[in-house]
Amino acid sequence: MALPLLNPWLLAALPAAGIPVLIHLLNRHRSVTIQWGAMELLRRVMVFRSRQIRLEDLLLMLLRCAVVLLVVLALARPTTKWLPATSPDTGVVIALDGSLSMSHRSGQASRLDEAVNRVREILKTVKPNRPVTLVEMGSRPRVLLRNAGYDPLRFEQALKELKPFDEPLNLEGCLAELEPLAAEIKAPRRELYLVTDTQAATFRNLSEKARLSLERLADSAQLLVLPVPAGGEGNLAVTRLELASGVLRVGAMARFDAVVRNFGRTAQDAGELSLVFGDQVVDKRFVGQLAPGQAMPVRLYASLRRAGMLHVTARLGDDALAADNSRYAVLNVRNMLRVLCVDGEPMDRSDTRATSLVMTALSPKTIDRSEALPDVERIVWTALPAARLADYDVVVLINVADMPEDRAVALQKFVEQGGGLIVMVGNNVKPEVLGRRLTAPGSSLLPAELVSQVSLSGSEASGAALDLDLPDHPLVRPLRSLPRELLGEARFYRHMQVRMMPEGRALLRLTGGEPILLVRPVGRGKVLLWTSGADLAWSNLAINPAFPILMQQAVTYLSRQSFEEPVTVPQPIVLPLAGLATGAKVGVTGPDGRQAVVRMGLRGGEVVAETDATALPGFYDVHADSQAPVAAVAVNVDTAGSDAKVLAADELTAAFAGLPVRVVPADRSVAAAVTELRVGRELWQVLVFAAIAMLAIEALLARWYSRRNA
Amino acid sequence: MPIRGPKSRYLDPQVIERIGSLQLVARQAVEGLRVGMHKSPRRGFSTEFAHHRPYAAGDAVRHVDWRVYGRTERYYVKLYDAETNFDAYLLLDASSSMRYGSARQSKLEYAKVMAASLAYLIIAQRDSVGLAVFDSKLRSFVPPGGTQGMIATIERKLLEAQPEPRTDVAALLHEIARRIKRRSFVMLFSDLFGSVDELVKGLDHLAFGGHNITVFHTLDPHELELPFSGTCRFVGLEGEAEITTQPKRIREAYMKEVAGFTAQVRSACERNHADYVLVDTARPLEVVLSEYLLRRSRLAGAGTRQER
Repeated sequence: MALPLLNPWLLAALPAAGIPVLIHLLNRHRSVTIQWGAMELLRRVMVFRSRQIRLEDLLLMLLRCAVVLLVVLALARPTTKWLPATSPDTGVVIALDGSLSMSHRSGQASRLDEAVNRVREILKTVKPNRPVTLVEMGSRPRVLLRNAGYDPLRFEQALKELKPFDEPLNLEGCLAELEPLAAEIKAPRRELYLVTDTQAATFRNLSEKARLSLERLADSAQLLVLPVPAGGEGNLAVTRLELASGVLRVGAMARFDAVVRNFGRTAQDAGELSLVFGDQVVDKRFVGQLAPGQAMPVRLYASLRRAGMLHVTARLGDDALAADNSRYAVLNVRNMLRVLCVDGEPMDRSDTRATSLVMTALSPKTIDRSEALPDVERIVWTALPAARLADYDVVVLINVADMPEDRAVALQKFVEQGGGLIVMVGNNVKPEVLGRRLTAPGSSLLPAELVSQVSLSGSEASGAALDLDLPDHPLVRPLRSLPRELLGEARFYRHMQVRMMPEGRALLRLTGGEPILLVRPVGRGKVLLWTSGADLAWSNLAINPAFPILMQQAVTYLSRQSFEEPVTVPQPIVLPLAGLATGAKVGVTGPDGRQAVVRMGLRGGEVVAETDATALPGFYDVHADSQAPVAAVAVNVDTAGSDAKVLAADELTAAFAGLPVRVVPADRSVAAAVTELRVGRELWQVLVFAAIAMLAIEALLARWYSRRNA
Repeated sequence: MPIRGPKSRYLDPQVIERIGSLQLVARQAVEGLRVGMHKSPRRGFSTEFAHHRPYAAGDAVRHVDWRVYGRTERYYVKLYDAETNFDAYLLLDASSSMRYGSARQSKLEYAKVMAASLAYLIIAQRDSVGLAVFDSKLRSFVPPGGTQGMIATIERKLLEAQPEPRTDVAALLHEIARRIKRRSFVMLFSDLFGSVDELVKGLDHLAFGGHNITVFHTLDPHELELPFSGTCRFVGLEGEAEITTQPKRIREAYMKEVAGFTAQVRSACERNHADYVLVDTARPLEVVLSEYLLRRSRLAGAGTRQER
């Protein structure tokens, strides 16, 4: 009969049962030697008494050994399944799904409310003081009560305070962390309940890792999956909101791209999508009926009228799952956006030289004079040492041959503090001069090492074409809406061969794979490298209609601050803030109005403010003092959890096929299922009683022997 | 006789002081060569009246008790005890088992002091004393003498007596019985560990010779009570195989065994009209000797009254 042990490692103490024998042997060894005369008398006594004494000693020693043995066994807490069922010997882990889909509400009750009711049913089967662990699962498990003796009032309070998370369920991660929680429950029988809506996206195809975790959990606990009743599955969500184009300065017209998706099994009317600046609706688009699974891109336009941190929201009407009906973005709108073009070929006065083409692309002569464009300024490359880089948002180096070392260092500092740098190579650029200067320690800026100039295709007429399979990146995203033939006309005759740096990423490539446009983040800023660009001897891109779009988008992209990058729940906000030292305090006000104080700390050599994990979607304003916010961060829900479809009973059975998991359907009583399960009890009390009894017998016998011999 | 403080290893002035006023009285009549303070088995006509007997032909007429004739008209002759000096033999067991001592002294040392004190007392009352030191055999023998020099001789012999491994009391008693030609006072100082049956035979032999025997059964208090605790390894002083035990566990049985042993010896002594004195070496020597001497005096007095 196997007796599983709750503390098997304590069996290592079993040799302690030999301690009485050891003491006996030591006592023998440590006996007092007496030179004795009356040996004959002693011998006569021993002849009659020695066997009796030996038996008495043996009996006492066996009793003492047995006491130690029983105590060790009791501490190891053996259990048996052969004794009658006793629910007090059951320990329970309840893992409650608190992910985004559990907020889905059909009628009055949400799925989480239903789940809480099922948890109450489970708790009714648990006797007071038995160990119970209550966990709420999301992107990670949050332990609400750990290995706590069951106290109905305490657990009811915990259930009442339960709130869903605005994050998808990370089943793999949660199961992995449930393993030690289940193992630490001290009970002969352990039960682990997964109370969940069995979201189809998560449970339909369980990963190998999740299956292995379930198998391991089944080794230490009886696994039960309790699906909660799901009244409906329909859900509309705004899955994307981003600034598609537009210069971030007052007066500019900004275009926002949003996507609305129907996650339900039936067509659903999405109504209107509103664009809200702060609390003011600035644009609306009718979305209308969406087929099941359909994702509808929606363009929204608004004029940037005021400088400062702009809270942008794309909002749908209410539905069953409210958390994903809004999507948030933050824009830092400036009064002016200044670009400095550093001309590396000042002797060339033609309109088709690279600098002129770049400046025209950045600030074209438009009919509408009121259109807000970047303020572009040109200096010759020899004047670079005298330029105040801090006055500009973006610096463009066009075919610059070289620069003093201190300027390279100044450029590095400029970028690290949030500035943007565009490097465009040309005939003047020598890899061993500028290339080395901008990849040297202390001024490492380029996303790739410059190797050598290379002519393409051998013929200037034909040239190499762009690879039109564009990556999903904010800089090149506007190009995706252009006609393909337009970009297809771009030809590249020459380019600078490069060797990618680890931090670099190629955004545009030639059909042969050679990178043309590369990006690298440096500190809070970014650096773009054109390996072939504005010089018409190198490519005709500068006279392609896509070039102004690319350059203006590049300026917009480079001028955006790091805090404008949205964060997803539950990621923490990590914000580099200029002018604040390590240890300085900043206040972070969340969407619910609660303020948290965060100390500035070092991360990756940079002074940043880092919050705890975010819990709510919305805007988080950062204050360095009581003045206006110095930054704002948009936090969105991860819409991977927006698919509220759940598995049907047969699908659920199929999903757990081959796994030691018992599914208790939503319409079945938990108590009935539990009663079927519970057998077995812990034996430590029996062992302790036996040890005490033996100890008492030993004490009585020893006393009796002692008195008899006294 | 005045007590002078003897300068001796075995003569303790305190003991001598205490027992000096007590006389060692032979409970039975002993034969002596000199006229002394003890009754002789030979009837005499001195001053100490013993009893009457009918007149027989040949008796001197001056011994006829005329007063009795006046009352009874029969002739009775008055008989007197002849007072004599006795010979005392001190038999000292110097076997290794006598080396044991839990207190200040070992049993052997205690017995030596006791023997020396008695020798002093005997000499002091003008009797003769001899010494036999033995273990498995007789190691030294000093014939009785009544001079003061005997004390020094006995002391020297006692000093020379060193513990030897084995004891054979019975053999010694037989040997002594063969050596003593006249009825004497025999005092045995021993723990008597050995065969009780053999000891009884030895006592029988001595008693057959009409000797006045006293057995000083000398035992240490630890030997009487086994007061040890814990685990003890007992190593025999006479080379016996060692025994490891917990004395506390066997104390009761051991004390019964000791009681049985002393009862056996006492019984053997009584059968042979020998005095038995159980000497606990934890008790002060002067107390033990005083008690013994007083008892002897009482018994001697009682015997005299009975004879009258």
